[in-house]
Amino acid sequence: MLRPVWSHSAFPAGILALAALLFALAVNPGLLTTASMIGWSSSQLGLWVVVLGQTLALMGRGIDLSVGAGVSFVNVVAIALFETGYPLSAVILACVVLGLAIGAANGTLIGILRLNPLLATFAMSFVLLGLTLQIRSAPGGMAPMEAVRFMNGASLGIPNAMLVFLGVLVVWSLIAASDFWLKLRATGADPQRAWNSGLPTARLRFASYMLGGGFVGLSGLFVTLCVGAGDPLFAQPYTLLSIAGAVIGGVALNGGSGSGFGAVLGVIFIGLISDVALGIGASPFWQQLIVGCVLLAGLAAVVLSGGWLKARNDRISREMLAGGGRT
Amino acid sequence: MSTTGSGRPRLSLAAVPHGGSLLIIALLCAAGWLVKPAFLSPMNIWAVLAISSLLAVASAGQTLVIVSGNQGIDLSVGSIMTLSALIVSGMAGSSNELLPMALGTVLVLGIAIGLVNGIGMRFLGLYPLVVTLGVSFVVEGLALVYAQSRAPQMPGTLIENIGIGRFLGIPWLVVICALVAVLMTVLLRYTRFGRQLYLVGSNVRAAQAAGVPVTRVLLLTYAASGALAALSGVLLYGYVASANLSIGAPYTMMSIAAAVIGGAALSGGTGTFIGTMLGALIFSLLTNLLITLGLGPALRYAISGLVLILVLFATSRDAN
Amino acid sequence: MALVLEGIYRSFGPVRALDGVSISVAPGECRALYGGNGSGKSTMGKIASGTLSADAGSIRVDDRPLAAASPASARELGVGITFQELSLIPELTAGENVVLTDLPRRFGLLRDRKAEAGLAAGELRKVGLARVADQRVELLQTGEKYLVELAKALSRRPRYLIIDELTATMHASEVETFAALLAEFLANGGGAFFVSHRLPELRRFCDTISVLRNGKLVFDGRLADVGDGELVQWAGGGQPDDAAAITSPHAGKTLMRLSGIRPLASTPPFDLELCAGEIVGIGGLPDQGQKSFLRLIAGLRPPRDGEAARIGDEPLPLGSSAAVAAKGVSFVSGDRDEMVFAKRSIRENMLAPFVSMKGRELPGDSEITAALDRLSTRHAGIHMPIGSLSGGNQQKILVARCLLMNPRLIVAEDSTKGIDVAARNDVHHLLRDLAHRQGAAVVVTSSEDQELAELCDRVLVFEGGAIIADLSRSAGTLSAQTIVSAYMRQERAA
Repeated sequence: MLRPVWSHSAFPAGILALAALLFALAVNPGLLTTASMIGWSSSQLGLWVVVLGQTLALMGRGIDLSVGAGVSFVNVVAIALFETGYPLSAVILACVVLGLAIGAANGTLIGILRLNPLLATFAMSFVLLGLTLQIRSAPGGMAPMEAVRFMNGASLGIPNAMLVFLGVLVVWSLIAASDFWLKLRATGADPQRAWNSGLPTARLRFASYMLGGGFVGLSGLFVTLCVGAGDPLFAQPYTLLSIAGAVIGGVALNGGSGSGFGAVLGVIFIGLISDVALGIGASPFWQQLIVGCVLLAGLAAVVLSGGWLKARNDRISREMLAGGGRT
Repeated sequence: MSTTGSGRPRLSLAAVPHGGSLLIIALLCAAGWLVKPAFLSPMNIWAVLAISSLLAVASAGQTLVIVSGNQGIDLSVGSIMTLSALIVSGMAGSSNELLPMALGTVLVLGIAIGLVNGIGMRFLGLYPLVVTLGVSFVVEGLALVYAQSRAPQMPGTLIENIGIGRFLGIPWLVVICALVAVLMTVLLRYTRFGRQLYLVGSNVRAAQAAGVPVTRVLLLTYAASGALAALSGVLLYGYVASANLSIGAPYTMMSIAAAVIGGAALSGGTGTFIGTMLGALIFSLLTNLLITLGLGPALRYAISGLVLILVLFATSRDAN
Repeated sequence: MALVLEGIYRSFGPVRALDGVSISVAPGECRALYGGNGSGKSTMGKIASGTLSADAGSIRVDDRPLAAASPASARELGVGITFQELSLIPELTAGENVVLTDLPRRFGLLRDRKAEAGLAAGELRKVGLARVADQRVELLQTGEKYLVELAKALSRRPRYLIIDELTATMHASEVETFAALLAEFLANGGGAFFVSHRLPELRRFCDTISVLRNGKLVFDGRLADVGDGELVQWAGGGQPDDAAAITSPHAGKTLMRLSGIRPLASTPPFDLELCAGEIVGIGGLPDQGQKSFLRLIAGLRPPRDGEAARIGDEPLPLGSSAAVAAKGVSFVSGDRDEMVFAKRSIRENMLAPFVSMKGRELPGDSEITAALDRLSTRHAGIHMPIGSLSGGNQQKILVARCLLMNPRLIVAEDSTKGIDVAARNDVHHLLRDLAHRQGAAVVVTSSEDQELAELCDRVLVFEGGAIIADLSRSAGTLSAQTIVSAYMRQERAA
């Protein structure tokens, strides 16, 4: 049975992102030129990728307050490795492995040791922040020029950062089509019942954090290559932005429903409203207030319209079910 | 087993109230003394008590919100503290006479922000995590705009005295914390509101069915949290003796950690302010111990993170 | 060859739920696991299925030991369970739920949707619900959910099945579907534990019975060898409830006048009067507006246009549970998720309705204890968390709470749901006491027509939000038979 498009959890975020895009185009018609797109996508790529990790955590009824610190940590480690003379391929591998390791640590605390996700990942963010500052306390360092140039370049008019992100989305589609994803959704929706059904809930939650860590590692890698330097604090806002983006994208905070694509639309919306705020000539001091208000309104709009759409959809389904039962 | 009497459960070692927290505090003190006997000097003890009092007051509202359940959590505490410190600094400056008006302003503002949280949570059905996160973005924006219009100033003598001065040899912060403790304990244990709060936090549907005015209780809770955060922002301003845009930020998560270490379950319905005070003390003792060990800020972060994990492991594993 | 549980011990905090119990079931056998509230029968079922761990004792499935207490390993050994509280994930479709633990895969990683749909449809067809395979479980009706739960348990082809109160909320036709599947399962060499305290169903489905009482096995043998009286005795003492014959001295005075009542938005409004000293039951097929009606007068549902009520001489402020409670209306439900403050003490649970009443003093500990004693409630002190008690005892505490309130009107929604015969009788006696001695009006619903006939002075049968029959004891028109025929006639006509 084909579900109508408006019944998808990402629908409100799609509308918001589209509206923000039109608005952004109105104040800045040059937005879609290649040069502008390159700047935009290479500055946003890290957030787009990391929100997928956040989505994995949220889906299993968890949350990850350590993603910002994790991305920063991977970032400074990558720069340190480059400076020691490791080749790009080795650093790419190291970033992914490091991300998976951070995720595995979170997963052990939450999935296996059953610590509260909010507090465990908060504590983990302290650990990661400390390690990051120990390695590099101020911005600096250099990534290989050719890699940085590639990430800030374009192929056939399409920014390479976007192409890279398409590759990440392909990986994500595989996850979303896996049986792991369905089982994780079940675990997030109702952990007790999932366990009663015979699902290995501890392993599933562990795996969700570990995989999410993989996206944190990738995000750290991309931030390194897009920015070209190490910065202990650059990615710290990612934590809260990724949560806000995922929620706007229709990912339920109590687990079990939502999609990675919706979450990406959510962070795209957030990125666009910052652009709009700048584009209409607001002073940088007012920018955060404007973005904050739009964000709050967006959160409210999405949660409310999501609830309304679901209720409507459920009612229609129930009526159809009842009708089918009688005939 | 089948007694029908009203006998209280028998006292055992595990049943000592806050036994776990007290044990951790004792261990931290012992460790500090082993590293450096001056750790337990009166001066250092008062210093730790003062900073933990500040954290305890900042966690008071958070405790109420967490007890109120229904996924209750207040992520706007830190940003309200920042805004409140900036406004008091900007309005009163070094003048003592303008202080009451500034204080009144930030309290009203704190209540208003708390009400927005409560309304979003109760009437719009938003998760507290979401609404308080969104509100904190807005409050940070307000702080930025305000800081731009008025440069922060050095605090006046009155507020500085509250931040770092003493009363009868006891730091004013400790005195204020003790007052807040008495108020909070009376509020939670002996008032109608306190009883209703625990019921709402334990099971909101059951509270509704038992005739508890759930909406009023929740709105009051979030408003109180906003007011307490505003108050602690003023104290923080006095303690640091300056105000900046990131002054309150760490307190959001520290207040949650203090409340949870102190025994408030994030699922709601349990928790006391005494517990939260002990949680705040654990956090402050730990930081102080790491400074005593001569660690830089980077390693202090890392180690306090690890210790927080250990404490969580000991005190608050999720059931099943 | 059997599922054997031997010497099982299990405690919850200070309460010993199982005290060295040994039971077994052989292929082809359906064994009743019977007992009162807190007797340990559900605990035993959960231990057999790996859902709960035992403190001591062994579980062997066809001579292979169940080493780790997890549902996954029990399933590996061929033990399945249908949960009273369901194990279905509401957000997933019925089909996804049924095949959740054995999803067919492509490339060892991805879901094979086509194979999945075929598998799910095959399993759901057995319970006659193939048409709901693509619907989310949260959209199904209660009875359908239990059938899906059954299909899910059977999909793993278990050799032993634990059936925990599966049929309690099913329609008659759904029970027939279950009966056929059970017969087939047994004929194919399966063995089942049937956990229930409903005597007619035990007699219908089971040949053998194990009776638990206070965590100990008190009888083990053929069901035909024991009579109903004995079974009720075991379930907690007391005799089966006799139909009430007392007429109340208070009867006749109108306590409450309701006007413009519309339990369902689509039905025409009706007026109704409730008398002091009278127990009124609301019957009918499930979901015909009974719940909506009760919730309206308890202040838990906002009134629709035109709905109004007066209690005594004053208007009843509908739509606010606090204001309604202050007028002397007390609500109790069998849905303990909606009634119990699990983390708080028994005392706080008893005091909950008083906390919000202005100008009313909180009852003292001696009053609380006295109220609990009247319902002979087992507890280890009123400062213990109520969550440490069995469901039935929690329910009795909630009813005892009504005693403290001294209410004018008691609204009791399925107040004896999931509690044993003895506890049910206690609750009935108390409700009668409140009505006939203290002159309160009582409105009840129940999923059992027999219970309504026993307890009530008057029964209103609902159909689509309207009253289609008004049966009363004094007019001699009230019996389980007349209730059933009232709504069945409508059913046949439709």
